[in-house]
Amino acid sequence: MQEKLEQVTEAVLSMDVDDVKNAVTEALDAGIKPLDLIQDGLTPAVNKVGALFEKGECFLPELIGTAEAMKTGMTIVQPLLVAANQEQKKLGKIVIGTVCDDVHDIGKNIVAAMLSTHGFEVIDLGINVADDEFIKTVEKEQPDILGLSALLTTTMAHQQGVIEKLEALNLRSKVKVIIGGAAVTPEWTAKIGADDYAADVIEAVEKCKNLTSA
Amino acid sequence: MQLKGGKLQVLAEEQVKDIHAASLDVLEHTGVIVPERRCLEKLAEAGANVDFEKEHVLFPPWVVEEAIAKAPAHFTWHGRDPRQDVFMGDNIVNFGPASSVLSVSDIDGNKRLATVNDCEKFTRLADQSENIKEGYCVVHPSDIPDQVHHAYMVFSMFRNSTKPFRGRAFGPNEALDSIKIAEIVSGGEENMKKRPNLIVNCCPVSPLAHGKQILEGFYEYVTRRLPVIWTPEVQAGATGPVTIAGSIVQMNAEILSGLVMAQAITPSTPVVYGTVSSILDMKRGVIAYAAPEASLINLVAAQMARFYKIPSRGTGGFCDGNTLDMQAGFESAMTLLMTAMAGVNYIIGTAGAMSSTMVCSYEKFMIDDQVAGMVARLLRGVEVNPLTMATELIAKVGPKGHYMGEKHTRENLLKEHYIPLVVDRMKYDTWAASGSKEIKHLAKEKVEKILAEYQPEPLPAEVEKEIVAYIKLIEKREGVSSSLDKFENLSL
Repeated sequence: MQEKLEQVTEAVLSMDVDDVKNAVTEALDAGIKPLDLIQDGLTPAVNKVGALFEKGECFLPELIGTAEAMKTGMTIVQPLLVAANQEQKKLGKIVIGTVCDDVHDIGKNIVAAMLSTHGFEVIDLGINVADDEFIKTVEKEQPDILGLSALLTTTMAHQQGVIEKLEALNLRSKVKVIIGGAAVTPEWTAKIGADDYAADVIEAVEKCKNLTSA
Repeated sequence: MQLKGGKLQVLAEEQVKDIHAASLDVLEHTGVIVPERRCLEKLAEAGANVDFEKEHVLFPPWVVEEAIAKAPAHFTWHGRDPRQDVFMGDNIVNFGPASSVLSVSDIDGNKRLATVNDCEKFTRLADQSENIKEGYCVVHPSDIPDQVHHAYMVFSMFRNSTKPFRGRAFGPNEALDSIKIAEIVSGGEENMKKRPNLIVNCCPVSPLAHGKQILEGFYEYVTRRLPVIWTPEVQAGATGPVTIAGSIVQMNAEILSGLVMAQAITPSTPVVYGTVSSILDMKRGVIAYAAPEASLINLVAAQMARFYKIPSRGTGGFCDGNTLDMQAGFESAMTLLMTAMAGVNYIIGTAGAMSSTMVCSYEKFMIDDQVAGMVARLLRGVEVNPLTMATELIAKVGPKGHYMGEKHTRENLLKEHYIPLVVDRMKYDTWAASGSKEIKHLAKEKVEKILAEYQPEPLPAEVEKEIVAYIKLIEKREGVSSSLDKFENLSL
């Protein structure tokens, strides 16, 4: 059993999507429970890479490769959890997107991938997301966090616009708002009343964890 | 005096051609997204394969080659004062300040958002500088409504400098307002056609896409044949291949797609080959503007631009560090030196910024201006002629003599020696006795003096009045209250 779990961990560390599929399938066939597979097979790989990253021995491409491999494993295991009426404990639910008129998303995409690896449920609305679409999704999904990304000084105003709309609809207190993008500053964050901001990918994960544990 | 670079090259001629061929391949088979109807139509007319529904364009090589041939080799960028006109081309190097910076920091690290007043002051610093050739205001003001920041910036630059600068282009309003204000300064549309006093910088969305608002702005400049710089900001490893050559190939393709569009809209519009590309720092996930790889990309950009026979724009003086320390020193100096020696025609970022262009400082502007002066001296090289070799003088002074009192020394000193602005060259004990000042302290003293004393050539009163009236119209159109009182000494 232990061997099968170790195989899953190794497969994720190798970042080979086919190896992950095979190892996960083999492990399930051998009778390993889905929740154990996640906690003792998939998650240790992510933790190991995280530790190496902190030491500066591997970099973002390895983190992202590991996240993708983990996602592949989760796609197979997740439905089984649901069928068995079990739920993996999620750190929180986050709705994330790039604001209206802005089409830049690489930072947001990396953040979304990292957050889901770390145990968040992530609903990514994509790019050029209208203020109203953010609002509608918050109403429907009732997330813990709303993440708004804007790269340009010219589109940052939409971060303010979304927060104002949340206030007008009495939704503001129901969700934590975190903003990001190269031009975002603590001053802007305070000015528009966002709960926090993240200056880069690493900070985004740390701060989201803080916002859901608070 | 015009500075020439271009002696430092990093690619062999064959490699330049390889990159060109690879870009043609990308343009022909992978293509570019162009989300603007009129641009798509013009591209189709020019012979590109356009999928109007997917807003996707494939470029046959002959379409690209034909457009390259139409783009001019050089142009003159006119300032309010003809003596400040900037020549773009021929390996001539022009320094431009940093731009779009959001925050200002003092030497103790106290940071605040930038204001209209900062716009005016930074423009004045650029105006009085011997080394800086452009009057860009460095900062993006935060104390006015978003809808008018473009107009305020353009006005600020025109009223505080006679040097040329760039307009704004995020959307049709920004473009049309910038152009209108420039026309007022020119004395009308016809005058502006004869002496174009505005150019624009446009960025694609790497990889291989353009943004709708930028294209709408770009369209307004190009229909008036105003020069446009196409500047990809590829981040190697994230929005371009991690390999430098791969990111350059992609960047090259993006620029060429912009060039083809410009020629398709108005043939012989000047197009400048631009770059602000670098690597993504793989620890923090942020762009590393001052990485050595950025300099390599600038060196190649200069070569590619020469190959296409068009002017170039690059970056130099950038700094990823957050304080006025050694990192700021070596990052800004190295990046500026490399891009200048590459022979890039217009170098943005020369002075003022740090924290990857998020924070600027008046003191850093001063220090960077001096670095530019030192780089300029390097580019001027060594003048070799009978006067400078001075064999007659050497014979006259003879063994064991000295040159300090000679007329030749007095007459040639300022031509031959660069006199630094703020460098400390005191002996150690003298330095300690006068307060052990760091360069940032010297720079602070100097910049305070300049800002207190320097007066730029003002705009003629009627011109300023007309611009104010136009800005008031913009404010009415946008439904915002006026902040014109934030300008210094402006009669309203």
